Formats: sequence, structure tokens, C-alpha cells
Amino acid sequence: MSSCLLCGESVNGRLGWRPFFLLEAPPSICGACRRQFEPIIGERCRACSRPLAALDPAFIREDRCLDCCRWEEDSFYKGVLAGNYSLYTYNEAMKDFIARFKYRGDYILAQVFAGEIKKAAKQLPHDVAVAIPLSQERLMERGFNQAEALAQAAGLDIEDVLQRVHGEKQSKKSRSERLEAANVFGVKEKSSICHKKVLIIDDIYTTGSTLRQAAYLLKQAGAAEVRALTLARGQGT
Amino acid sequence: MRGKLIYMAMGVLSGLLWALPSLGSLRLLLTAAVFFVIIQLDKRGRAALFSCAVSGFLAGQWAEERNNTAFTGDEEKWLVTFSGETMIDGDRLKATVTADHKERLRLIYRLSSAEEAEQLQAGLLPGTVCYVAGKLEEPGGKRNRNGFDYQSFLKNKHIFWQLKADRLSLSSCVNGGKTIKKDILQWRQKGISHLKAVFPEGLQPVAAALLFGDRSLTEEEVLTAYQRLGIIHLLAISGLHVGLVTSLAYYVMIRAGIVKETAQTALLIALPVYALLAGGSPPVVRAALMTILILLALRFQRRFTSLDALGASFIIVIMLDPYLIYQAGFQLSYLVSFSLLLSSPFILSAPASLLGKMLAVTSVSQMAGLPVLMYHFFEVSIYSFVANLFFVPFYSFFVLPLLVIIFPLSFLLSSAVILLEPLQLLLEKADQIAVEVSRWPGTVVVTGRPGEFLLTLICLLVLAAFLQWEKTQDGKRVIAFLVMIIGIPVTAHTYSPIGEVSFIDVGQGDAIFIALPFNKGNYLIDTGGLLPFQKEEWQKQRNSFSIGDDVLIPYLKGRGVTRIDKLILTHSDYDHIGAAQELFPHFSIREVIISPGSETKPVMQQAIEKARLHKASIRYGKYMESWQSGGAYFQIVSPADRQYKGNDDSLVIYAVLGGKKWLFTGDMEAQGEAQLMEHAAIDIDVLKVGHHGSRSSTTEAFLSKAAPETAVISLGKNNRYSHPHREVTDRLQAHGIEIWRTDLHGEVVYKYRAGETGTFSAIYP
Repeated sequence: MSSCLLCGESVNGRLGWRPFFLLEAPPSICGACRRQFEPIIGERCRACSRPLAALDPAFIREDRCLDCCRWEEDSFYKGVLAGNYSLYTYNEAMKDFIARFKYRGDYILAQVFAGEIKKAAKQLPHDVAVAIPLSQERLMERGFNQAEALAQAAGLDIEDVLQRVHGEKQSKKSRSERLEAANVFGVKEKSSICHKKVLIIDDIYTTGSTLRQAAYLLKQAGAAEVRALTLARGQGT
Repeated sequence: MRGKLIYMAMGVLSGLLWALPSLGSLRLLLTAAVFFVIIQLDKRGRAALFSCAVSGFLAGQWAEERNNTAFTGDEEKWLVTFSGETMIDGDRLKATVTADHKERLRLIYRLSSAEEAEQLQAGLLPGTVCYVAGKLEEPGGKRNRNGFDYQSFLKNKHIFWQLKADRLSLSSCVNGGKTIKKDILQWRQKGISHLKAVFPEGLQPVAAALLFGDRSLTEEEVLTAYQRLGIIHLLAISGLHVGLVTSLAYYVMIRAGIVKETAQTALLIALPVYALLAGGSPPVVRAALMTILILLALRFQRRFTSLDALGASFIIVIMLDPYLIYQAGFQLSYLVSFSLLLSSPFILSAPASLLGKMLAVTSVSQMAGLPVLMYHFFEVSIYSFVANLFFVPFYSFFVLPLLVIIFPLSFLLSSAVILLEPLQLLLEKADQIAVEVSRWPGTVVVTGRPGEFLLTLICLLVLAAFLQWEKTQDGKRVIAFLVMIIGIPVTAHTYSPIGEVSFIDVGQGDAIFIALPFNKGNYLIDTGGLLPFQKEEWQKQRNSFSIGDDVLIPYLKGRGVTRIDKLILTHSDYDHIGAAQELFPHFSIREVIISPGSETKPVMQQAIEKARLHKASIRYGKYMESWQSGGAYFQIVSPADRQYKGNDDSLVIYAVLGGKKWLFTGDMEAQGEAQLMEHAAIDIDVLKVGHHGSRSSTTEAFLSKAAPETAVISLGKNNRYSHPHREVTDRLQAHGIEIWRTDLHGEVVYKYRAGETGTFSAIYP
């Protein structure tokens, strides 16, 4: 029996026919840890997956959040990102998880949500999957690209299309700073995305600016449609 | 090892199957499953699983070597110890006893009076040691395909002889030494007597069944109804019952202020006692053992999954007695528990309503049991899915708790049984409904016994159905699988490309079943039957042997037969048509053909009455009438007149099928043979020898004229008429005719493919 990747307690295999015949890998984390995470269920913003239930009605326009409406009003970014799909809310457990995974380099944690990412990716129509890249400097610092790690654990084939030209941490910037920042990405390779539907993988959607910048470039480079799949939906401030 | 014990159990079983006689296809299936698991386990797991399989094999080998008798069969004086299973049924006493060398024997004793029966019933407590005079007899083996093999049945219980006791009297008995086990078994017997003394009569059978696992009091009619509805398991103490009783006891103790640890210890001690009191059937032992293991794990703070407990209990039980794997009850108990455990996540999560969950539980249990039911009982109950919904809660949460609470009370206060009156009324109503509903059409589907590879296919389909169910939660898909699982064996049997002429071994008598290829016709010529005996009321056995219920019906159902196009009753003798009346409720019989005038005899009248009741058409066989079907030709060639005088007026049938010419003669004797030769030029290949090989038939003249190459004689082993007579066999041999005899060979079968010639074979060639 394996141990939980998060708390180290032993994991009791799920009862069931598929697990019994070993057609399904045993779960990577225990039930208690799994329950700490909060999957996004119920109504969500059609464009960015933000749960609408907890949101002040003043910030909701029909089935979209105000944020997304504002993005669509922006002449530059209008229609760039067809949508973002997030699996979990960015609650305390998810904060700890991402901190441990991304900043403290616990690479194996990419496995924890691999199954769910794989399943979600299957349901989002796409021809090519792309991970948000890190700058050279950040990659050296972390040792791996968290978006790429998530995608690979989920068994997705990643096309190396984007590169980061500018290296400042997004998480240290405010919303307005992020929105106003010049595009930090560049496109390395156009041929593989031309007229294709592209799915961008990243760990978290906060304001959506990173994803939109990447999406803008991909569109410019000829992509037919760009969607995003992110593990967590943070509360953009 | 945690979480892997169930795989180890699988390994032990696969090893065991290679050591004990078993179906080759199941061996391969299980071995494949074990290999599938082995390649995915880590190194330690692999080693453990491999050694489990090896020890399973060795345990089986060892058991198989020791499963032998120490007696020669010539011993006549015995010192035997009676165990728990002593049963008096009519004028028969049947008991399992232990003799020298600790070998078990099946003792049978014919009682001479009702008083003797009563005395022995009261005196032969478990543990009694008696001097007995009597001879050993070998139990009868298998006589027909799919037939009951009493010899193997007993052998799997480590019994090799039947002891026919001539003398058995309490004066030569002593109460043997005391052991705890004997004490418990005596309590059990006393409990049953107490129950018979104070409980209302209508409740006694259910109480004996549910409290002590003793079903012998239950009426045959109710048993059949419950069987057809697929709820027979309720009349046995199931694992669920053990669970309920245990929880009830635990709850009472906790409420009474007993500390948890003490209550658990009390349960640990009480469970083995309860298992013995409840009759020690496989489900009871399984459930008690699992509960004990889980309680022990709690005590020692080990984590132990219920699947582990199941695996561990399986290993313990089959290591102690590997032959349990042959018991239908054992197979069902473990298969159903295993499937329920693996299905529990989706049973608990998917259906929202309680009713939905219960339907899911029932369906999982039924589906898991299908291969076992088909193999052992040849039919599956369709209504069971619904019937269980009503009967399981009724029994589990109402009947059982009430009985468990009131039974101990009745010792202190015999008037407590008044509380049971309403229960009795309810149960009577429930049984009435069960009997009524079980007679509706379509209650059961006769699947026949699936052949080896079909059985494997069915097992795989059941597995696939569970995987699909778990994955899609789609009820429609599950139903589609069910239709396939039940439909495949039915179709395979019904539309078999093989035609068969079977001389069924019904003891002294005839029963010949002809099945044309591709379902083109099922004809039964005679049914066999027993001569009736006059018996006094006390002598009548509750469940006496009959050719219909015990031989012919299981035989036909085992072959998946549900329809008989023509039932040909050659003449009015018990050994030919005695069992006919038993067939009508079980098969759709299109037409009954009888010999003209034979309806005057009482045995034929009984058959005709039953035929009328079931709306089967009855008619005389007309002289020289003929019919054709599926490439076969049949003609009635005797009797020519319409007067019924006896054997010589047997309906005689000439047939051409499977590339051979046949003559089925009934009990036709010399005179009939002479007349037949006068009227027709008889030239045949296979002769069903007339009148069981009696010297009154099969004359030299007839043999010379008919010139068969093969003769089949249908007769009973050691029959009282000394059939076949020496003259007849000598005559047959002188003509160089190959002889098949049901007394020596068991069932004799001629099998052929449509349009081809076939071959004869037999159970004991």
C-alpha cells in the first residue's frame, strides 16, 4: 500500500472493480487530504470558471463575471481567450499545495491532479497543448516548469511554442501592473499552431493577464482558437 | 501485506484448483487472473502470491491423498459416535457418524415404529456413542449427465460409505465424553426441541431455519416457491444474519453499560459458539470469521480492510477443508460477498433513494451468483430482483430480530411466544404470496448447465458487466449484459447443432429423450417411474426419492430443455410412465401420445389428469401414423389394434435419424414382435431391446429379421427381475450385436451432427 503524497499517511485503496483488477492506479493522496481541496462545482463564469455562487451579484453579468466583461471591453484583448477552465478554487489547501509544488520544488505532486487534468483536457476541444513557459532564470531557480510538469503528469503532449522574454514574477505584481505590463512572451515556432485549436496549461488563473498575453501572441501567430486549462482559479484582486 | 490478502486468497485458490479435480477452463481463467495480478505487484507481493499459489496446490495435494477410506467394506460391527446431523424423516433415520480411524460414515437405519422414531430422536444426542450392526454400501455415483453424484457429494464431505444399520438401539448406546463442541451441539438440539415445544406451529420451520440453520421442518411447497423466486437464501442463516445478530448483541451490551473492550471480547468468545449453534454452514462460518478478524484487528490496532478479512477468512477456511470449494453455498457466499464489497462504492454513491440502493444490492448479488446458479441449479430466477426487495427487509429487519429477541425470552417466560402470533399471521400471508407468485409464468429461465467454455465466457461477461456498471453507472447497459449472460446459454442449448438420442438411466424403467438438431423437435418416449408402496402415515418421508423430481426433471433442465413437443407414453406401467405426472408443471408439453385403450389403467389416468390440468392435448397414437422434422422420420408401427391388453400393446416407434434406423419397442413381447414382422418389413440398425431384456421379448426370429447392429437395454442396476435375462444377451451376442446397458453404462447417448452419422457414448463406457 502506498502513502499519501501530502501527509504521508497510508492510503487505503479505493474499493471497486477497476482498482481490484489494478486497472486504476491507487490514489496518490489520502481521502482526508483530498477533501481539503474544493472543486469548482455549480455555477461558474462561462469565461473564466470563477464560481459565481460566492460572488456579489453586483459583479455578475448574466453568466459571466465583471472581470471577464471588462476583458472583453478591452479592444486589444477582446476575443483573444475563448475561455478558461479551472478545476479547484484557490483555497488554503490549494495555496499550500501550489507553494509546496512550485516554490519548494516537490515535483512529484504533479501526480496528484494528473487524472483530473487529463479528464478535463479531453473534454476541451484542442489540437495542440501548450504550457506557459518560465524564463531561463526562473527555470534554473525552480528546476522545472510547473505548468509543463502538470501537463506531462496528465499525459498531454506539450508543443514548445512559447518562450518568456521578460522575467519578473507575476505574483509580485498588482492587477493594474500586470495588465499594463508589456507582453512577456514570444512565439518560437509558428507552424505547429497555425489554424489549430490551442489549449494553454497553467497552474493558476488569477487575473487572466498572463494567459491572455500568451493567447494574444498565439492568435497573432495564426491559432484558430485559444483556451486555457488551469488547476486553480484564484480570486483576482 | 495490508490490502493484498484478497490477492493471496486468489493465489491459494488457483493453486488448489490444480490439485483437486476441477473444470479445466476455470483453472485457466483463475490462473490467468493470478498472472495478471502478479505482473503488476512489487517484488515482495509477487513472492507472497507465488508462495500462496504453491501452498494452495500442496494443501490440495495433501488433502486429496488423505481423502481415502480406511475400511474394506466387509466390516459388520461398528462403534460409532453421532454428531450433530441426525435426521428422522418418516421411517428413515439418517445421520453422519464417526467410526474408527475418525472416518465419517453416512448411517441409514429403517425404523420399525413411530415409537422407536421418537425414542431415537430424543436419545441420539450429539456425542452419543453406539454399537451398531450393519453393512457398508458404496454410495451411488453419477448415472446421467448433470445428474446428482451422491458418491462425489459424500466424498467431498470425507464420507466414502453408507452404513446400512440393521440394529440400532439406545440400550447399546452411551453418552460419550464431553467436549465443548459436543455441549454446544447438544444446546443446539435442545434449542430446536424447545422451539418445537413452545413456538406456534406455523412459525417453527422459520424459527428453526433462522435460529439454528435447520431447514428440515420447512414445507416442500414453500421451499420450491422461495427457490423459484430466488429468495431461498433467506431461509438459510446468511452472513447478513450473522452481522445483524452481532450488531444487535453489541448494541444491547453497550446500552447495558458494558465497556466497549469487554463487549468486543464477549463477541469474540460468542461468535464461534454462535457459528456452531447456527449449524456451521459456509456463510455462517465466513461471516463469523470475518467479524472475528475485524474485531481482532481493532483490538490490536491494525488496519484491516473488509476485503482483507474476506481474503483471510477464505484462506483459513479452504486450508482447513479444501473440499468446501465444491459446495454451491460456499461458492455463492464468497462470490456474493466479494462482489458486494467491490461494488459498495457505487451502491452507496449512485442511486439516490433507499429503494434504488436496495435494488442495486440485490442486482449485484444476483448477477454475481448467476454462474453458480446456472451450474448447480440449471435455472435462474427472474423475479428475484424484485422479490428480494420485499423479502430481504421483511426477514432481516422484522422476522429475524423478533425471533432472536423472543426465543431467549421464551425460556424465562413461556407466554412470551404470544408476541409471535402477529408474526405468524404475516409470515403465512407472505408464504402464500410467494407460492402464488412463484407459479406465474416466466418466474425462472431454464439456462441448462453451461459447458466448460461457456461457463468461462459467462464469468467473464459477469465481470465485464460489473466493470461497465462501475464505469458508466448506466442501468440500461447492465440490463443488456444480463440479457446476454442469460441468453447465451439458453440459445446455445436450444439451437445446438448436435442431435441426441439419450437413454436416460432412470433405474428399472425406460426414458428416452430425442432432441433433433437446431431445435427441430424434442421427443420424450416414456418417463420411468417407481412402483408405489403402501405406507402408514408416520412412515412417509417428507422428501422421498422420485424419478421425476430427482432424475428426469434435473436431467432435462440441465440440458436446457423447456419444451417437449411429443411426450410418448408407450403403455400403462409404472416403470415407463410413473413419473409423467411430475413433468407437466415444469415443461411446456405440446402433445401427449398414448397407446389406444391404455387410459383405463390408474397410472395412465393420473398422468392424463395432470395433462388436462396443464392443458396439454392428449391423443391416441394411430397405427402407421408418421411425422417428419429436422431431417428425421418417425412412424408408429405397433399396435395395429385398438384394444389394450398390456405390454404387447406398447406404442412401438420406428425412426430414421442421425443416419441410422431405430426401433423403440417399449415393453413389446414375443407376440407383438411376431405381429410387427407380419405387417412390416422391419430392417433396423439400433434396437431398443423390448421389456428391459426380459426373455419374453427379443426372439431369435425377430433378431434375424430386424438385424440390428446395436442394441440398447434400459434397466436398473441389480433389479429384482434379474433383467437382462441371460438368453437375451446370449442371443444378441450370437448375432454380433453391440450391447449398451443403462445398468452398466449409466446414461447411453447417441450424438450426431445434422446430416451426419453419429456415435454412441455413455457415462461409464
